[in-house]
Amino acid sequence: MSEEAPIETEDPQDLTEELEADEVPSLQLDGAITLVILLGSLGLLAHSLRVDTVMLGNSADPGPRFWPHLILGVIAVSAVLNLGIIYKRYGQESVLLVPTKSVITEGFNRRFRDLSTEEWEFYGIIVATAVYLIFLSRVGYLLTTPLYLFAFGWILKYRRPLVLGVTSLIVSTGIFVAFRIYMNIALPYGDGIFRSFHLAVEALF
Amino acid sequence: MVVEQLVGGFANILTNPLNLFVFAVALTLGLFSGAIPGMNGTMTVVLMIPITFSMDPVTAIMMLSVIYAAAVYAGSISAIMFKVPGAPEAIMTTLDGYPMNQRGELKRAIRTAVFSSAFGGVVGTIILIFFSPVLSDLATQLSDPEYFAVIVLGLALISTIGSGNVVKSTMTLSIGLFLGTVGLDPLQSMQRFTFGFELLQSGVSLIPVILGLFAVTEVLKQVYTGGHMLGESDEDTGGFQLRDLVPPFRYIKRFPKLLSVNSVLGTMIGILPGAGATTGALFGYTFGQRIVPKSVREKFGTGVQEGIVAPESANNAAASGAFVPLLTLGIPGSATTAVILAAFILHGIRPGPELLTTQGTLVYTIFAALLLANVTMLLANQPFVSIFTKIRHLPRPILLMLIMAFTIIGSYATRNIMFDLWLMLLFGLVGFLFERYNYSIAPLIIGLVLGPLAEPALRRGLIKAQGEYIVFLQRPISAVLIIAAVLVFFIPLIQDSGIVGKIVDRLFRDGGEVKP
Repeated sequence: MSEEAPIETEDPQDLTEELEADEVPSLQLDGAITLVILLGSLGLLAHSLRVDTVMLGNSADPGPRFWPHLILGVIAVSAVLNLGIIYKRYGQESVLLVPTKSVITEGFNRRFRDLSTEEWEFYGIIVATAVYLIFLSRVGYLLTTPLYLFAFGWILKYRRPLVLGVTSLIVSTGIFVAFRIYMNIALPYGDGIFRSFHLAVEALF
Repeated sequence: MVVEQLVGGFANILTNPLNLFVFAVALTLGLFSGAIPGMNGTMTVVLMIPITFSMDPVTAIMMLSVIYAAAVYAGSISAIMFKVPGAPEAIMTTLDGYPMNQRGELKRAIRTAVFSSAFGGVVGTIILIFFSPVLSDLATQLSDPEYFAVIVLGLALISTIGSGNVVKSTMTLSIGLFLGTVGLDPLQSMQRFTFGFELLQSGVSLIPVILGLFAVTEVLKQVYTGGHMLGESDEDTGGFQLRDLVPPFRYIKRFPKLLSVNSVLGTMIGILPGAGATTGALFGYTFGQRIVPKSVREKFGTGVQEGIVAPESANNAAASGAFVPLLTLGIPGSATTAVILAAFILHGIRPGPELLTTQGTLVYTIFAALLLANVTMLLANQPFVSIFTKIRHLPRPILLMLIMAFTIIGSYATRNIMFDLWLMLLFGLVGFLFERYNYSIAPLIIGLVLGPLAEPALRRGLIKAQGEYIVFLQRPISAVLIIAAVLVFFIPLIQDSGIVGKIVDRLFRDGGEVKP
């Protein structure tokens, strides 16, 4: 009986341990974000040193590299400081600034094996938006947008296809008419046959 | 004399049916263009210019000015309701307005925004009416070192906005500043960080970054957490009531310092060429945070009314302030006033020091229109907002879908290039990660807005001083501003920790914490 008890009880010590176990991968991600920022700033700094600049006019001008170098320097210094903060706060043993292969693999498996409904929706929305953007310029606004909006609602578990379809169509067309016809802002027409389709629709208005 | 001419300006609008009609149309257009993401005051003013060809210059310029003033106000509506700034000027309003909405205080948040906007707009216009010549003289005295020093002061204020974790805020501010360097350098037009990509030559566009960081991030956050954008317990969002027409004058008593100081500050920012209402809002929010009691300051960003009063009073005042250099020097104070300047020229009028005497009717009709627009917004706000609050009855997936549709179009419409849409998505994901790991987003936007203003001022200042950096401390105004910037950066850290030794402790606060 006493052996089963710890599973059910909410001992503050257990909760603390659970919290810390949850925090570790997050802190590693925080460290990873800072590390990416640090490496990015150093990479950009190196890149800008390779680019030739021509000094025009007054030699007192510090040149086009000066301001970006100053900023990239601040980014690098603050990123190092932040890594130090993470390291100092949580200690060398509980947090590795650079996640090891096993930590990454475990984290990856945990993330994608036990996805909640909301997480599925989250990734679904990102993929749907990326796919939409890929096809938007090729197929055009009027054909892709209603499909994207329908998919968006469907991914978010809205299961009234007629309402969703009609809303998607009305919103897409409304935006097209408002922006293209009244505000003279051209939305993507697509290529080839899709372009002809958009021009034909535009002629209707 | 001034009052007489102002009365003449009011009479010109109120007694002329055409002017009155144009005023009403301009106000409505401005409100809608500000409230709908993807449209903004500048775009609407541009679109309306051809329509003004057939108009009398007074009617035409009045119309464009009213659109501008109304759009600056209306950007706050979608910022508060959906965390989607309808216009860049409303960026800072999202920080406290949206949390208030989520707590079920939508109506109070909007009422605060409207009142502060109107107050700032009226104060800015009054300053414009009575002090234009003096202020334009002052503006001509300022040179690049002073201009750079003002921006440094603005950047230093982030120690307040990001006082939870100064290191991370400095990092995101610098990322924003860096993004502002992408493209052609402002003095020699050399390509920087474009990697041979032609679209990057014109730089990173502000609108897709804002919409990505605020709107897409919020949509993703709502999806990820299964949350709702609109607060459920807002009891006072019922139908329109007659008492809603009465402006909440009690706010003058409640926020006297914030309203007055930020309105004057916003006007001063607006006077600086190129600064505009967005910069006014950034300064207003960060400066406002410094002048409120510590107990309120610590709650900034969590949904306090002061967090709405500060940027809203400043951005509308800045919109009025931007007219000072336009009317008295012929130099636009913002993007929208640059377009209005084009309209002046199209109608054969060249703004300058003589405009007040040669075109008195025109100038005072503009002044009267700006005052009238702010007062009308205060009264007509509630019926207008009621239209938007109907959106709360939509199912959550449909609402998120609509926000995403307008965000996408808004990002695309500014430059009509697909690249901006990818930028929007990228910054949406970046914003999501940043928010999750306590990297403040607001400093990034501040950096992106102020960076392109800072660099040319710094380099031109150095060129004029033959490369001597000491020039920034030799000129009195510049020196005072730089010293103020240093103090403003360090004082919050010292203030909150008590002794210098605790500054380090302050820097280490919140490192790596994950938001629930």
